[in-house]
Parts: sequence; C-alpha cells; structure tokens
Amino acid sequence: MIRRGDEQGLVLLFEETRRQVVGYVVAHQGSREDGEDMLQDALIILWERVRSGRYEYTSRLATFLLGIVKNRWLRVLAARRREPLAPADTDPPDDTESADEALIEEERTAVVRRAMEQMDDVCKKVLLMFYWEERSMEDIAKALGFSNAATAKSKKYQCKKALERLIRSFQEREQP
Amino acid sequence: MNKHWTNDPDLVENYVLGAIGQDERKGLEAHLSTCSSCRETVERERLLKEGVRSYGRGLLKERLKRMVNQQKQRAVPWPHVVSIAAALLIIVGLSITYRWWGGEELIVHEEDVAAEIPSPEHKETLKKPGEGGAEKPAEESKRAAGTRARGETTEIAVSPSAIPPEKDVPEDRLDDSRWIYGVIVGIPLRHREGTDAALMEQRGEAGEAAKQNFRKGEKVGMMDEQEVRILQRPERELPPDQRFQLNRAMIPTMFRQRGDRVELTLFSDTLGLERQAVRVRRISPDSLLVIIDGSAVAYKIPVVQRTYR
Repeated sequence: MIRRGDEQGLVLLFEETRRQVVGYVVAHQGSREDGEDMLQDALIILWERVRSGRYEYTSRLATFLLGIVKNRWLRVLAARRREPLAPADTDPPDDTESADEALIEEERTAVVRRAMEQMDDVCKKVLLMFYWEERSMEDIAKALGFSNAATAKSKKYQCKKALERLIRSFQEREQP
Repeated sequence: MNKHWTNDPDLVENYVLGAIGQDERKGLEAHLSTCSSCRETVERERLLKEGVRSYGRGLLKERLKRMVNQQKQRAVPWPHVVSIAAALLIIVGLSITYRWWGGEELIVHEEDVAAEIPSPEHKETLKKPGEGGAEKPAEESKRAAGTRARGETTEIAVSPSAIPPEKDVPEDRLDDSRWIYGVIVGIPLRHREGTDAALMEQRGEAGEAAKQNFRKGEKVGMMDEQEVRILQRPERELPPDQRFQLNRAMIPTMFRQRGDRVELTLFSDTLGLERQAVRVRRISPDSLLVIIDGSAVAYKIPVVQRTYR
C-alpha cells in the first residue's frame, strides 16, 4: 500500500504497532501522546524509505518502526536530561543524527517551510514531487497534467526561483 | 565541465539528491574543497531540498494524525461490541429456534397470555386456575382493558399506582426468581396490531389445533395459562452485579414466578411503561415480546418444570 502511495497503509500500520510502540515510550518516562507522536514520525521515515526504494525488507515493519522509535526516544530523553546518550538495545536504523543536529536542521529549514506555505498549490506539488518524492520530470508531468517533461521542468524552474525569492525576502526581514 | 560545475543547476540538483555515481561525485567534491562559492551554491540547494522535505513531512504528519483520529472515532468501544454481538446472537438464536421471522410458529391468542397489570385491590383476588374466584380477575381485566373479544390485541395501560412497591409482595410467595435479559428488537409486521385475526384465518385448522394444543398444556412452557405482569423499576435499583448489563440493546429484567403468575420487572429508565400502552405477545412456548409503543423487548422465558392441567 505504501509503495503505491496509499496513505491509509500508514493508518493500518499505526493501529497494528501502536500498543507495542506507545507501550515502550510510556514505560520509559513518556506519555501516550509522546508515543503516538514518535510512531507517526517513524511511519513517515518508513514512508520516505519505501517510496524512494531505500527500504530493505530485512525485518518486520513493526521491528523497524520500534527500532526508530527507541533510538529517537532515547535521544529525546538524553536531550531532556542533558545526559550522555545511552545506546539503544536494537540496531539503530539509519537516522543517526543527534538531537542537537536535528534541532539545528529544524531551525535552518524553518524559513523554507514558511516560504513553501506561501507558494501556490501547483508549485507546492511540483517541488514536493521533485525534492521529497524524487520523482522524474516525466512522472511529474503525467501526475500534474503538463504536456511533457520539458514543460514540467520549466515549471519546476519557475517555482524554485519563486521559492528562493521568498526565502531571501524572509531572511532579509529577519536580519537586523 | 564548466569552470565551476555548480553553474549547472541540473548537476547541483542531482548531486544534492544523490542521483550521480560515486566516481563523478568524487570529482565534484574535489572541486568543492577548493571553491567556497560552489560550496555555498550546494548548501543553498541542500537547504531547499531539506526544507521542502520537512514541509512535506509536516503535511503528511498532519494528514496521518487526522486519519488516525477519524479511525479512533469510528472505532466502537469494545464493551459495546461485545454487548451488541451478544444481543444479535440472542436475536438470531431465538429467531432460528422459534422461526420468528418466517415459517410456522405457534401464534397464541392474547387471552392465553393474559397479560395484565392488576390493581392493588385486584391483586388480592388473584387465584390460581381451578380455584374458586378465578373468573373474577378475568372479568376485572376485561374492565381494565376495555371490552375485549378473542383475537383482539390486548392493550394494558399501566399507571404508576398500579405498580405495587416490592415490599408488598410476600417473600413466601416467591416461587422462582432469576435475572433474564430482554433484547430490544424491531416489531415484525406479523406482530403488529390488527394482523392476528388474519393470520389465524390463514392458518385455519392447523393454527387452531396449535392453539388448542397449547391450551391443553401439551406444549410445555411456563407461560401456559398464566398471567404476565409487567413492572418497571429505575436502573438505580439494579443490584451492582447486574449493572454491567445496562446498555442500549439489553434490559436486565427480574423474572419471577409468583403462584400462577409470571412477573417481569424491567429495570430501565427509558421505557416509560407508566406513560405508554404495553402489550404482551407470546411468540413461542417460552418466549414473548413486551411491546411498548414503537419498540419491543424480546424475552426467552426460563422453562420451569410444572404440571399443567
């Protein structure tokens, strides 16, 4: 389902793994909301990997999700306590950025997210398909009804320039 | 290659998206180490990519939260599922056993069930069948329900004053009491008012024979030649061990056999027996419907070993 882009597959996985994952977080000083939030983040990582063909089917999906949640939750706990990071008891999936790095990245990309909010719907779709879903220009043209890949590429160029202008204007306003 | 490969926007995009081979990547990175403006170009592109991805994740997370919440709202609480399943099971079981919704069934004239709510003074005169004075309550019943001919639907107006307090019933008269559970069901057409006479005509001799058999007690069922008395009590009076049965589909009911009467005390705050017309329909030797206005409560009456005349 996920490979086909059916988001309902995420809901099914959420329901299937919630008890186990939320149980882990609750047992480690977290709340139920923390657990559900962590699981949603893990599902998005899974979504990206499956959609980009980077997911290796070597373990059960539930094991994969729990592995991500354990690693991320331990980092959250370490950041809260300002203690050294304890190793997780499972092999960490490949998302080993530190909590601080994640925070810096979050702040750095905030301006892009704000600029994206201002873009028109077609540009949002083009840029998301290109940068996030890593889809080819042919795919984008087909999905959005452009006559061919060249037209889609031209649209992507315009959207990218518009996004960069917005980012620059936000950055200039923020500078003292 | 241009003097600065970062002048090629496609190449920058492919580099940042990881869409180039190892060897080419090494060559591009060698140039980056010596060109600070090129590094800036690549960083801007990387920021763009990460920002758009972060935005996409945010949108997906919002959608996921919304879908999960919708799923939670749709989910029926587990105890409700169990109680609904139990109610359905009972309805299906009864309908199969007694063919409520089709096929042959024993349709018994209302007089056989003799559903009544006796008034307090009337209660004193109730006698077992065969004892002297047995006709008297029957006559009073006719007065209470209006003149009633065979085949007519019995409508019993139950007033609060007609419901005696529990303490009025002497314990030594309590022959049998147990909890049974009424299932709220829709009323099948054949049980609606006015259809009995036609049904009896259609059944002809077979129907009449079945009725006679029933009267003779050949069909063993505890409702035979007995009166049914319907009472209502508030749910707060339910003993704690019965409260778990309270739900929308079932009505905990105390079944009592008192002398020659059957008494059903429905523990419900919603039925409004004191305001509504109540009818009792026997639908098989040991099951009946208590019909209150537009709804009906189905009961499987426990069979008690008795000797009939």
